[in-house]
Amino acid sequence: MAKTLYEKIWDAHVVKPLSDDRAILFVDRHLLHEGVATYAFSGLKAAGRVVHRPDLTIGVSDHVVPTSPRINGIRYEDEDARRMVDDIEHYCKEAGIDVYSVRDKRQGVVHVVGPELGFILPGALVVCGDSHTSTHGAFGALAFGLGISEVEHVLATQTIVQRRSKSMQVLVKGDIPAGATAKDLILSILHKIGVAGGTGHVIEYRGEAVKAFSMEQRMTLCNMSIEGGARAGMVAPDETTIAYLEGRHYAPKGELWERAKEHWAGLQSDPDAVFDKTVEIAAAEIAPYVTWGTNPGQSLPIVGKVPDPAAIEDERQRASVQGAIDYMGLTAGQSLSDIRVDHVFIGSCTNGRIEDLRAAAAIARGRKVADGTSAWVVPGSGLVKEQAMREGLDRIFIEAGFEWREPGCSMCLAMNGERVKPGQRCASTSNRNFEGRQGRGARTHLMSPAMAAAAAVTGRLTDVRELI
Amino acid sequence: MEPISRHSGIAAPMPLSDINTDLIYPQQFLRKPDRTAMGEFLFHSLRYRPDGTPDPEFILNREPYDAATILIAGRNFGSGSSREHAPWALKSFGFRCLVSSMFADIFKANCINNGIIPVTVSEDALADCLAMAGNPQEARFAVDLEKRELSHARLGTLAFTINDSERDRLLKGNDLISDAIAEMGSIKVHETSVAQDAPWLDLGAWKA
Ligand code: SF4
Repeated sequence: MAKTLYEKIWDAHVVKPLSDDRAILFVDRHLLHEGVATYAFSGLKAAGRVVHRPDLTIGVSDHVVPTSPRINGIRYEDEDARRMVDDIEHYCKEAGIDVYSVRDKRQGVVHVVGPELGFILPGALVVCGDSHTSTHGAFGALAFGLGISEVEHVLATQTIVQRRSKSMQVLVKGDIPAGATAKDLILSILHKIGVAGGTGHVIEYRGEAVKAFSMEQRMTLCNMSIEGGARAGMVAPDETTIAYLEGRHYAPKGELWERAKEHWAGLQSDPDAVFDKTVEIAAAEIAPYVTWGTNPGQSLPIVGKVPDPAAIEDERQRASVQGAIDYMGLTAGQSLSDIRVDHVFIGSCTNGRIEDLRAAAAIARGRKVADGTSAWVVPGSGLVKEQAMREGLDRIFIEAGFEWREPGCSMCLAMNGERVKPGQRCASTSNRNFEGRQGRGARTHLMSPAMAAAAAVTGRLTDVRELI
Repeated sequence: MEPISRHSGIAAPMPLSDINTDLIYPQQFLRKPDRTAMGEFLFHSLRYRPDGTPDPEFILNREPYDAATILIAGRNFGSGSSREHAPWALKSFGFRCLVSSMFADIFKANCINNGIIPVTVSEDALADCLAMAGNPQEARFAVDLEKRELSHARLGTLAFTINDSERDRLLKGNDLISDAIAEMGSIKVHETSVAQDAPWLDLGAWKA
């Protein structure tokens, strides 16, 4: 029977089928970060259990790590933060798990570090105690986020119990126009399907535009699948995937590499495979997007205006839009390009990779951050930072008045104490514009790295196409 | 995990849709070590004013809802971040059952792993429950997991949905990890087949 890519990977990982369309699935790759390690290992120890396959997990510190200069030591937000970093280092070492923490130059956001080290391979089942694990579907892997109890399950057994999801294809037809990016595509998809449109589904992104994407862009796209409620997002592996992986730290070498490549060639949905749901997107219509509200589906092209609640019939819908407008301090009908920003944050597991920094630097080059606006660039990892410095991107940012920082999650979540003040507004390349996400009362507008750089130099949300 | 089969108590209505886990348990408290004390920070930005005093308008700051053990919430409850702090905080506050027309995937799994019953009802039933719970005199509901029934003195008995496997786990309170460890034989068989058919995945075998 014809199968989707998702079904193929699912079937290859069933250790034991269970009732209700569930199965115990084998986990090939597990990513651990310090935000969950403390809880998961203490639970594991309390139950007297040990790590079953330390070779299939890597540990990374990112969520609570400050991104200020580390030359004179690391100044954590509090003792709890320091303890979390100490814990992941200690527990991983004890269990024989490779760990990339603050003293390792490869440290960074877990979803940037994993792929960069070649830890994520096509066809693999990948999990992490973090919802943006969906990022790794970019490699043609089945990758999804877990809670902390489930992380304990993976550590103890290298398996996870899951219920089979429905399948959904997002078919992107045609080419994405200049000035628009994978970020704009995913924001437009979320606008279309809504924040629960993918619930219960695994999305496969297909079509010419997706094929033409680099691995970085595919990761941006898959990263925000969870914002549509989807269990996972994926892109079938191809030449681009293989070229990215070759020679990376955990990628197979020599004969193993050849065998793996042969196997990966068969990893795609069969031509007559049936998806439970199909969404078609005309790529030509994708313009630079920004979010105006308090969830990622509340997004519009930058040329648009803040919606008018009075024009919405459904009562609950109207209340939700009004609530978002109030929280964001906007007025109905206001042009999006009139919205002034206090902060700009370029970074995160969505847009903290080298291509993202290049795109932002291309706009920042020769310009200055606007008066009254502060702008940060937080590389996704130490390796991204090094590469950017080799290319001189740090100089471009610094000369333009951006702050060039150390790698970590930083202002995406503000769990390390780097937050936006109440009532202040931030143009951010991250993935969530929820109330309080970047700090209590903080107002977040999501956009692509080039759009964020454009906001930095003009001090307001700006159509980047005016600057290229 | 303790088994749970029946529960009755005060239900607090939160009609908002798409309540995400950032709102349920905000980022500034994610480093707290004690999961049984997280109820203090539940819905923090809604529950407390910026100066730290309780907002008397917020539902959980009002009688009888300050003693609520059932939460009735708008569609797509628990979306966003996978943080298990959200169900930990709900449980620590005292919630045992959540009622909505749809729960986010990861959040629902986290609830079941913590012995909280996710009660999924139709949109219409949800609207009725929200309206009824809004009246402090009518806010008492009961949940019978065995029968998959939500009941209320005036609304009568409403059927709700939950998978057999999810229901069984809550009823028995059994530990998934012990069950999986009992399958170690099958796990090892799978590991052997990976080593043969997809050896590039078997890191321990070739990666020094
Ligand atoms: S960058 Fe943001 S979304 Fe990504 S893992 Fe870190 S906190 Fe989560």
